[in-house]
Amino acid sequence: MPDEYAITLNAVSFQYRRTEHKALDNVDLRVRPGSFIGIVGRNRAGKSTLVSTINRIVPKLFSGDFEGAVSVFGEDIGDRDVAEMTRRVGMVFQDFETQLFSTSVRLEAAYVMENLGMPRKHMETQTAYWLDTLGLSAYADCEPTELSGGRKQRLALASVLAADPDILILDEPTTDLDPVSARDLMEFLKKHTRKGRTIICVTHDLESLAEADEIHIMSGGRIVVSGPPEKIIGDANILKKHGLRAPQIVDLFSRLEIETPCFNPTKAYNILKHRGYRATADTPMPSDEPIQENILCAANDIEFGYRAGVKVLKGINFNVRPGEFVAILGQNGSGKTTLLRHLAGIEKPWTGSASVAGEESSVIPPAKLATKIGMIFQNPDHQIFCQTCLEEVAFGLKNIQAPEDQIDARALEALRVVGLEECADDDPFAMTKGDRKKLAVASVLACKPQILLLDEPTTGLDAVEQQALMDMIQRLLRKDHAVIFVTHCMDLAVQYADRFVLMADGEIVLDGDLSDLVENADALKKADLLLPSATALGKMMGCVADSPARLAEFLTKDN
Amino acid sequence: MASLYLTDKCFIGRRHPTTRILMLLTAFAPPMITHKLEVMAAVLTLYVIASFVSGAWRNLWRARWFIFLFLTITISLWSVFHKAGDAPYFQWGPISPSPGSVFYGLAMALRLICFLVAALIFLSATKVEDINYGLIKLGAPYRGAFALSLAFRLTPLFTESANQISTAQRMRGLDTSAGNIIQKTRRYIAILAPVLIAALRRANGLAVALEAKGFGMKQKRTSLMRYPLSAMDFLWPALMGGLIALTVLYVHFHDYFEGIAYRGF
Repeated sequence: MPDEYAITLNAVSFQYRRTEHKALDNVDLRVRPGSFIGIVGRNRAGKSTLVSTINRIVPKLFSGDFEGAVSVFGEDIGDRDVAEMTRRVGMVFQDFETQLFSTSVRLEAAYVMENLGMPRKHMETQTAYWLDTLGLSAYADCEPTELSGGRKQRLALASVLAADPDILILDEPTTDLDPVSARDLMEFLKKHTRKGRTIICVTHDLESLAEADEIHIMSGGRIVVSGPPEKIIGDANILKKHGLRAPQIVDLFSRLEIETPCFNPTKAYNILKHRGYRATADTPMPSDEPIQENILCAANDIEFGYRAGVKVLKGINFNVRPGEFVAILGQNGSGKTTLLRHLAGIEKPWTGSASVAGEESSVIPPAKLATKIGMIFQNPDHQIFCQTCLEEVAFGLKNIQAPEDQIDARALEALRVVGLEECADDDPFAMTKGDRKKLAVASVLACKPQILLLDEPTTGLDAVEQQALMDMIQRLLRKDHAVIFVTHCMDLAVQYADRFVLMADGEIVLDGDLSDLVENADALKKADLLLPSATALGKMMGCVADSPARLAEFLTKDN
Repeated sequence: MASLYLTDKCFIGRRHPTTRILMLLTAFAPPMITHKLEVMAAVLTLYVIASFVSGAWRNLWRARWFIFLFLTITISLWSVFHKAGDAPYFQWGPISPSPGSVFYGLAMALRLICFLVAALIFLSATKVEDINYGLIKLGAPYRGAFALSLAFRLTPLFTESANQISTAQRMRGLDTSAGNIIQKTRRYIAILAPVLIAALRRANGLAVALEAKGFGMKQKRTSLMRYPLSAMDFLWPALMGGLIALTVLYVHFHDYFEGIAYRGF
């Protein structure tokens, strides 16, 4: 008799070799066919390990102690190989770049089908369909490595979906997608469950799970709470208890003591109006700080491309002054990271110039540049190269020829600032990704640059780690310094930045403060951005709010 | 991007992958047949012309310093250690360079550069998947062919990784262009550990991804790519065969006539 469940986990435990704790601890899970399941939790809660048991990656490809049983559509998969599971289970990895190894987008999309021995005609149809559906048709002949992060993520998904698996597992599928693409992807996935595909989605973006059938919260290798979205992500207290950030509307309602579960700004607006709420302030308080005249860094009419004839930046002009916290936002492939690389002097523009304190950044000697501008890359592993954390932080200090007797003290101070003073003698590569990111920040901060550039600083971090990192950077921002960061995370951008530069197709389509961002729907649309829910709701209520806390302050209830 | 592949829109790239592999193999033959300097020079000239026609000269230009270094070292080593039997310029212990050994060294260097240029032309016009496809059509097992092509896939990724790390070091004040050769070497060695760690992580991730994508699930896999054979796919190997024959004939008759001329004296 066929099992009524698509996936069944019975008392599954797994402990990776040479670790002290179980990554999975006696997990039971039942997933019905055609359902959309969300799995959430802090980093190291066991989420990725759990989903990896469904296609046998764990324990087949990772050594450790495995106990329990996993069934897929009623069949015990204990004796199956990972490759054998491909037809039934498709998986998009958190580190999706490792999943791309073909030399063209088209071939990448067909790779699984080739391995499954599908006929060419079928592969051609499927490849064309999925590339078109996921907006990649125009890049069919490009090399995957040439795509932006968001397009790579969509390609990883297309390559899995093309083989038409019954179960689709997505481990953090929206980390590199712009907000509109992320929203579209989740809507698209939800539609797919109606066609009978079972979807398991691991994510830190709880708002994206509003349409899920069931959500499981994991902690310490166990599923600790399960239920429908209203019960799980609609309850700010449960989320807080497990170290998760509540969706903005849920957070707001919790502050206003409204118990109706709601994730959607329009519905929330109706509820608030119905209950007699109105906004008492319509604009943020203007800053008392006078605008400084001196320019820290500037992009002057920059045009640039990685390939002849294909412009990535099309005449970019903007200046950054001391004290500014600038968020560069925009659609995938709009040129955000490329702009950052120009400011850092890594790329040379075709025309125009990028300057730091009046000097062209690409010609400033490295030792001098390091004291003016520091860049934290998306992947911390590309900027860690020493044996200990202390050596890592001291690396830059030695290069800028800081006084020998001050190097250790300054390095320790930088480690203290990021909360890693206890780890001075630890091996950086043995640390968690969050800590490696903090170490990268400390390494750059030690040289005391006036401008800090951050490329997607929060990717791969959970909500608590994201908040902690951004709080730390905000604390470090002094009047004579500036922070410029590229992000897809609108919540954090709106909460921390005081200036927003929106990019679309290599051009700046908006440069202004939060009020400008809220008012300029056209620019948001061009840049494929969506306002965070609290800000969107604030706009409907007639005020400009950067967070649920601020919006709650602005709202009063008529009696 | 550090990949050598440039375009398949050229007279090499338009050939069937099997033909391309056969062409590469036959291209190695003429320089292997003889040590004669004039043959090496002629074959190399032909290959360099082919690199211009196929567009591979851009890779050749990228490799110019490597080729120069290669040329210098090979000529020096053979000149110093090869015993040609003629009168040396000088004698210093076992080292006795002579005109014969210098010419021999030059011929050896040109031979190796012929191999290098032929390989660069092939890689400039051939995608990794094409190598894989061609090898399978020639009867290689899929896993073996894939493992070979994996080396070509991973090399650019590792180079990219090294570049990223080097960029991050420059951003932290390290002047990678400054210092003498020893200091530069030490800096490159410092990059090796993180590149190796990144490489191992990448290789591990790749292995997992390959399995999850059904690698090796079937003995016979299909291919999205289609390469219809044309008359040119037979003509080009024939031409390469002709080049080999010409080389053999030249060497044979050159030796023969040289022998007659010698006897005539």
